[in-house]
Amino acid sequence: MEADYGLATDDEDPGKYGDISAEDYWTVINSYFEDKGLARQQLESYNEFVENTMQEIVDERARLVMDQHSQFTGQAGDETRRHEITFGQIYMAKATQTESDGTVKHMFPQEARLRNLTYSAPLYIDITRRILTASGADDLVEADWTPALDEDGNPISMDREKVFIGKVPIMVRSNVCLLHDLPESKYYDVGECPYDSGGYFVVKGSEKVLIAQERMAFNNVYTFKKASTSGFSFYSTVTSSVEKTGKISEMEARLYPRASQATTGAVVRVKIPKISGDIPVVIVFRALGIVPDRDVLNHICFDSNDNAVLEMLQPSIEEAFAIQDRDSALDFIGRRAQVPLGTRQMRQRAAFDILQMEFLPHVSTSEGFESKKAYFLGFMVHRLCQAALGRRELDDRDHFGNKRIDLAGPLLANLFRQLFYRFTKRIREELQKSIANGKDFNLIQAIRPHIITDGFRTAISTGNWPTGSTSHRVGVSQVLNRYTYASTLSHLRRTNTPIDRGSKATKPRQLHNTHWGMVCPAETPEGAACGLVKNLALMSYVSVGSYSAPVIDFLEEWGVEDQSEYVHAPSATKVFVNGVWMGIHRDAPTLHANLLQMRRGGQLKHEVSIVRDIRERELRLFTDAGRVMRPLFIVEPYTQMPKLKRHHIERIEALMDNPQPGQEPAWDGLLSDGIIEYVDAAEEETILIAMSAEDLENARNMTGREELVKSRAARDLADFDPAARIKSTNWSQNYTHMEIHPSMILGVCGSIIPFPDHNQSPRNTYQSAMGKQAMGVHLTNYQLRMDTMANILYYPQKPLATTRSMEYLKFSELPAGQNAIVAIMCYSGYNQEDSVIMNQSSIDRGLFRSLYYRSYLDTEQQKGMEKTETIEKPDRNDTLRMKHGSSDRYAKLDADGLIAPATNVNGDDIIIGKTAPLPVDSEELGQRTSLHQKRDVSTPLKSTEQGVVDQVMMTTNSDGFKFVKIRIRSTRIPQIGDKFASRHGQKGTIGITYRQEDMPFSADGITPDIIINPHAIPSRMTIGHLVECLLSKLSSLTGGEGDATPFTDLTVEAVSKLLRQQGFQSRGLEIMYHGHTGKKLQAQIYFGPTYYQRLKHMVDDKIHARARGPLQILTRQPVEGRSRDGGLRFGEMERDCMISHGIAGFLKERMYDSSDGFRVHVCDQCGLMAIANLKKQIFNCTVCRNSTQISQVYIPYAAKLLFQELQAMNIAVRMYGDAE
Amino acid sequence: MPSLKFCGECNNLLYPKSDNNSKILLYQCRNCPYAENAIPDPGMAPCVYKNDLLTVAREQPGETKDLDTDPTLQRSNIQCPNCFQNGAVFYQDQARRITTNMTLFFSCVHCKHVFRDPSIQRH
Repeated sequence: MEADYGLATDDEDPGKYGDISAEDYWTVINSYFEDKGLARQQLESYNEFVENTMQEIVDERARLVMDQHSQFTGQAGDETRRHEITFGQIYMAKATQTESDGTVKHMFPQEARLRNLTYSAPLYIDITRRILTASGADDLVEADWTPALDEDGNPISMDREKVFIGKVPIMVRSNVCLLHDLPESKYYDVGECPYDSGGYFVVKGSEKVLIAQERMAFNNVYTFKKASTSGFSFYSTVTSSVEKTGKISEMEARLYPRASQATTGAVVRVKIPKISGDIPVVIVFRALGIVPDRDVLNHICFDSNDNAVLEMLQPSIEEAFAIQDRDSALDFIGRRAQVPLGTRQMRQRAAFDILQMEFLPHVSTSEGFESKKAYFLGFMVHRLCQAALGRRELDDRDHFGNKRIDLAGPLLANLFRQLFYRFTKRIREELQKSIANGKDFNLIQAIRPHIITDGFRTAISTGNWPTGSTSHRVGVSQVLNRYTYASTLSHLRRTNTPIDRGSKATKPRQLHNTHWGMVCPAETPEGAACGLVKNLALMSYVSVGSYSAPVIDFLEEWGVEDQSEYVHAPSATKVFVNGVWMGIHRDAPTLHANLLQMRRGGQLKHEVSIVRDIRERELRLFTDAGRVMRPLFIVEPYTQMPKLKRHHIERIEALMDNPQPGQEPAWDGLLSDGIIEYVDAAEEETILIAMSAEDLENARNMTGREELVKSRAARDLADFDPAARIKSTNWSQNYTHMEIHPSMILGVCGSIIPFPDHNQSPRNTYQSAMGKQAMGVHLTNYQLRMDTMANILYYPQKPLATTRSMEYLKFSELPAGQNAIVAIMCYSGYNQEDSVIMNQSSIDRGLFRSLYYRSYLDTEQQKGMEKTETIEKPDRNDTLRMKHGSSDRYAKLDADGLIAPATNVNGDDIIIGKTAPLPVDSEELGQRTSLHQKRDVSTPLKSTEQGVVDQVMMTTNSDGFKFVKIRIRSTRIPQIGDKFASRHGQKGTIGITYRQEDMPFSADGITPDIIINPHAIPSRMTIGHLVECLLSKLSSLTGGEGDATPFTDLTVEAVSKLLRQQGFQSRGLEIMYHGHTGKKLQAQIYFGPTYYQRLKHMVDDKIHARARGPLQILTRQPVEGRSRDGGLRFGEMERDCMISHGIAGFLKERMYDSSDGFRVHVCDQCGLMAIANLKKQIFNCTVCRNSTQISQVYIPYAAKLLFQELQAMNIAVRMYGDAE
Repeated sequence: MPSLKFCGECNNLLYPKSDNNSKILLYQCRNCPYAENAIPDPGMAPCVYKNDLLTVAREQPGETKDLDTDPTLQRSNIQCPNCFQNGAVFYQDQARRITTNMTLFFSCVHCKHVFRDPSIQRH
C-alpha cells in the first residue's frame, strides 16, 4: 500500500539489522491486531468471567445446609433432619428473548438494540436437594446422616436438576455471543457491521460499556510517610484480598516517633481490622505465638548484626513488657474488640478468630496460620524500619506497577457474587420458613430468577455499581459513544480512577514514567477529570488473572524453602507470589532464569509477571487480574540480537495471507516461541529496553558510548542534515528487550494524529478530544440502526497523510474527514480569532456535507389495571389537551397515528400520535365534557429541527406493548458558524464563505477550500500541521499515502526535495493572486491539502433568540434552555456591568419588566398584601378592615413569592410607602 | 559487639543493671532470675548503650550480591582497585535522606569488589 517516494531511509536496507527490516516489525504488529482487534481487553476479561469466574463464585457457596431438630412430639416423621441443597455445574445458553406470550427464540444484538431489549442469555444450574436424618449420636457433628425416607421407603431427595436461575447480559462478540460462531460475511444478514469491535452490552436497547476502574493492587505491602499531624511518621500498609472470595481487609503497621514518656524511642504499633486502637507490634507477635523477645526480633530482622534495626525495635519490646505470654496478649487484643465481650476466654477466642480470619487473610486463614502471618508481619515491620532509617525508598503510589485495572470481568464477578449470595439467601429464607411452618418445601418456587436478572440489568443500565452492601459507585457503565468509529474504540479502552475530582492533589493526574506504552500520553480529558480518566495505549494488554497454585507448585519444585530457614541463609532471596511471602530461595539468579524460561516456553501463562528486585533481594511473582502489560521483543543477552528472525516473519506473512482454520494465530505463535513477551510496569523496572534495532546494532558493534558519540560526529560532519531526527546516544550492552515500535505508546485517538511528535503536547491532547466529535461513518450499518442521534459525512475521504496505526483503527475504511485544500493566509479578515474562510463553491459541490439522523421513540404504556395508551391519530372531538399551533400539527399523521416515510416535517409537527385514557371520575379542571374519553400524549418533532421521515419502525417490546421508533433525516450543509478542525488541535468556525471566483488562486488556478489564519500557528507550535500539509501535497502529486507515523526517520528535508522534483516550491509555498483584483499577492502562501474534520457543533443546533415565550410556573421568570424556547440569562456579572455603568432604567427593564414584573395591592396600615378585585375596583384588607387605604405596588413575582413563603413560616414582610 | 543481648534461659531481652553489692555491671533478664556479667573479658569497655549517629548517616553501598546481573545498572570501564581488571557497574547511594550525597558506588563485575568513586576525595 505504501507508495515508494524514495523516502525510505537506510533503515529499510535489508540485512543491516540482522535481516529484519523496519517493515517487518509492522508485520508483527499486524499479527497482534489481526487476532482480537482493539476491544480485546474487554472481550478477554468477559470471557474469563463467563468461562471460569462464574462457576468459581457458585462453588464458593455451593452447599446450603439447614438442620431441623427433632421436636420429640412422638409423631411420625419427627426426627432430626438435615436439608441440603447443592449447587453444581452452571450452564449458559445462547442469547434468547422471551416474548410476552411466553415463546422463546434466539436473539441477535441488533434485535435487542432496535426493540429496546436486553441482550442476555439464560443461566441454568444443577441443583441437588437431599434430606438426611441423623442416627447414632445426638451430637449433630458425630451423627451418621442417612437419606430420609418417605412412607413408601423411598428417599425424599431430589435428583440433580437443571434449573433456570436468571439471565446474564452478554457482551457483543464475546465467546458466548451469537456472532462468535458466525463468519463475518454473514454479519450483514443479521444487521451487524463487521467493523464493529464488540466489547459492550446491550441493555434495554442501549449499548453500554463498562469503564475499567483503576485501583491500588491488593496484597502488596506499601510503605509511606505520613504527614506529621497524625502522630505516627511512617506506616506500612497492606490491603488483603483473598484469591476467590473477594473479601477485603486492611492492615497497617505504624511507627510512632514519640508514643509516650514510658518508652524510650519510636515504637511500632499495628492497626488490626475490627480492633479499635493500635496494638503494640510485639503483643501481636505474642498473640501469634511468638513469645520470647529474641524470636520476635528473628521474625523482623534476619541479620543479627543489623544493629540499627534491632535498636530501633528495642522500645517496641519494652512497650510490650507487661504482656509476656500468648493468652494475655490475646486478651489484650480481645479487650479492644469493637464489640465488648464478657469473659477472658471469650475475649481470647474472639482475638484468635480475628487474627485468623480478619488479620492478613490473604496469607492464610487455615490451621497453622500463625507462623506465616508472623513472618509477613515481621516483613512489614522490617520494611517500616528500613524506610524510617532511609535505607529503602518509600513506595510510589502512582507507579503503574502498583495499580490494577478492573475490567468488565472482575466488575461483573463482584456483582454476580453479591447477586448469587442474595439468591441463595432467598432460598435459605424460604427453606427456613417452610421448616418452621412444617410445610413442604418447594425448591422451584423458592428460586427467584429475577434477583439475578434484574440485578445485572439495573447495575448495567444505571451505572450504579454496588460496592459492598450499602455503597455503590456511579458511572461505571456508560452509553457507548457512537459518534465516530474512533470514538467508539476509544470509549471501549477508557479507564477511570475513582478519586475525588475536586481534590487538589495533582500527583495522581500526572503522567508517570511507568505509563510508557501502557496508557496514552495525549488522550485525556481537560478539566476536572484531567489525568484521572486515561486511555489504554494501542498494544497494551490487561491480564485476566490466573491461579497462583501452579506457580507455587513450580516454586516448591525449584527449592523454595520455608521462611524459618532464612536465619540460616540471610543472603537468600525472599519469594513472593501475589504479595504473599511464600518462602526464601538461596539461588535467585537460577530460579529467575528458570521461571523466565518457563514463561517463554509456555509452561507458565504468558501474563505471569516475574520481578526480580536485586537490590532488595526479593523475587515477586504476580498472576492476578488487571495488570496492564505490553508486548516487547526479547533480546538475546549475549549476542544482543532480537530473537525475532526472518523465518518468523515469513511464517506470519504466510499465515496472514491464507489463514488456516483452527491454526494458532500468528501472534500466539510468537509468544509461545519466546520471541515476544508481555511485561507489566513492575517487571519493566528490572529490564533494559532498546528503543530501536539501531540501539542493538550499536551494542553489538561498538565498545562504548564514547565511540558511539565519535562515530555520530564523524557522520554528521560528512553529510549534515539539520532537519534530521537527533539520534539518542543511549548505549548499553545489556539490553534484554526491544520496543516493538515507539508509536505504540499512543492510544486510539492519539494514533489518528499525523506527526504528533512534531506538535506541542497539549495540542495532541486537544485533538484527542476533538477527534471524538468528528463526523464520518460510525458504522456501516447506520441505515439499520435507530440511534437517537447520528451524523454521517456525505463524502468521507481517507487522509493523504496517514499513520501506520490507522490501519488498525480502520480509519481508511470508516474515515472521519476530508482532504481540504488549505491556504494559510490573511484574506479579507474573515478568518481572525480561529475562524476560517470556506469556499462556497466547494461546499456546493458537496464538501463537508453531512446527514443528520435523529430517532424518536414511543410505546403504549399500561395505565392502571386494564387501560393502556393507544397509538392513533388523536381526534379533537374526544381528546383533551391536544396541542395547537398555526396550522394543524396532526395533519401529517396517518390513520395509524404514525407519520409516513418521506414526509417532510418541520419543528413542532406531531410525528407519533398517542392518547392516554382519562380516569373515569376525573374532571380535568372542568375542561372535560361527556365526549372526552382520552388525553393527548403525542410526540412532536424538536421545535428547532426539520427534516424528512427516514424510517418508521413498529414492533412490540418485551412486555408485548406496541413500540415505535421513527428516524428523521436532514442534510446539513456547511454554513457560517459551523465548526471544523484539522488533526492538530486547530479548531475554528466558518467566518465567511466565498465563491470560487472570490477566492485567491495559484498559478495553476487552484483555489483553496479553506483559508486559515497564519496567527493560529506560532503560539500553538503545531508544526505537525505544516508537515502534514507538505507531505499531503507530495502525496497528492505522487498518488500515494504519505506516512506520517511518529518516531520515524522521515525529514522535512526529504519531503521538500521530492516536492521540488515535482516542480513545486520545496517548502510548499506558492505565489497566489487575489480573487477580486487578480493582482499578485505580496506574500507567498503556504498552500496544500490538509485533512480537516467537520465537528458536531453546528450553528443550526445552537442558534437561539427569544422575545417572549414560556415562563416557569413557580417564579414566572422565563424558562431556561434553547430546547424550551427559554430566555437568555442576564446574570450577576451582567448586572454588575449595568450598575457600574449607571443605567438603572435599562437594568430595571432587564430584571423586572422583561422578567417577572408583578403588581400587588398593599394595605397601608399593616403593610401586607390585600385582596384586590380589579374588575369591581374593590380593595380590602380583611385583617385591618381597611378598604380605603390601599396602595398599588410593583414588585417582581419572585419577591412576592418570597414574602408569602416567609409568611408561611411566621415572618411578616411589611411594605410601606414613604408617604408617611 | 552485638547491641542486644538475650537471656540464655528464656530468650528475652537483657537489660543493664548494676550490682551494687559486688560493684559490677550486669545484664539482667526481667522475666527470670538470669543475669550475666556485662564485661565478660576484663579488657572490654563497659559499654551498654551507644547512640551512633554517624553509622546511620554514612553512605552505605547496600546490597551488592548479584549486582552485576542487573541489566538496568549503568556500567563503566573503570579499573578495579582490587583485581585491576576493567569493568564495573555503578549506582548512586540508595539512601533517601536529605543529607545523601551523590556518591557513586562501583561493583567490579569480575571480583565483586565494591569501591567508591576514586575521583572524589574523601575526608
